[in-house]
Amino acid sequence: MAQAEHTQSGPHTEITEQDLVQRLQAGDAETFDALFRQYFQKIFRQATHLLGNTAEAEEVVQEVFLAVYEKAHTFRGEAAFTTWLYRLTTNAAFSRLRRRKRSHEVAIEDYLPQFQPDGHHLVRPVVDWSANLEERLADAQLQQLLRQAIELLQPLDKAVLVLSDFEDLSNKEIGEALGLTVLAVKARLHRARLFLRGQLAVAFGHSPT
Amino acid sequence: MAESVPTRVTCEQATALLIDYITGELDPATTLVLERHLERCVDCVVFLRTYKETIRTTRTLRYDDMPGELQNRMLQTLHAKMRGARPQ
Repeated sequence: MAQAEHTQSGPHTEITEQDLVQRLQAGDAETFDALFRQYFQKIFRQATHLLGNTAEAEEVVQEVFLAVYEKAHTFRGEAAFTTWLYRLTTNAAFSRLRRRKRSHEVAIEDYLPQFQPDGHHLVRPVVDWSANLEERLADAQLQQLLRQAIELLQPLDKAVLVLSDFEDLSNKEIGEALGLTVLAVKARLHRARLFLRGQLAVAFGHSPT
Repeated sequence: MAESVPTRVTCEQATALLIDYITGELDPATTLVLERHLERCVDCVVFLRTYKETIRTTRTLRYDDMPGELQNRMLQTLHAKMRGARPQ
């Protein structure tokens, strides 16, 4: 059984996540509203990161909460309620991503580090551009660059990155939400981060390696 | 039988270990081998620094929250849809 999150509803009453789900399964409208208010911003954020725009993210939020209402009875509590929500959100976002025509494919490998046959970095010295990043942290152009780079990731790599680096989920929780092993989560997360690092390196005029 | 930890790693192997290294999930023996490599390899030190900064910067990326007015409108829309949809 997943560890329940606790919700304070009054000075002496603690309602567990499981209680809320049971009330929802019984068709309690107030509970639905409470769950909506508690989680919609999280779902909206996750969907926006996955889809790159707020208009589609709003549609996903609506779709997810309708699914919560319609499918509440299928929630068995093997995973946390939030994990179930993340799974619903990812699935809804993925079906939209699949329908999109990709304007251009980017070779992910071109932005990953490359190595010589003996295992040394292919391009040496590796240039330290971290100070540039520090200076431009609040720069809108840099933020836009990162958003575009995230857009280029494969959907599953993007989902892993979003759940890890934006939602702070553990690798185990991400695995449960996306149906991946922890090892697969780590591999995808590392690749996504290396790709973003490569994109930044190129933006600063250096080799990704 | 436990797998033996190599005494040296290449830059390529060191790069593959970074995801676990930055969260302290590497076992002590592998951590020692990686840190010995980092003591000798400026390229990997710089790579690690830029890798960590990339993660830090990515985490600062934020989109605007959903406006309050839209939240209420969406909840009303959901209520209307729920009236028309019975749980499966």
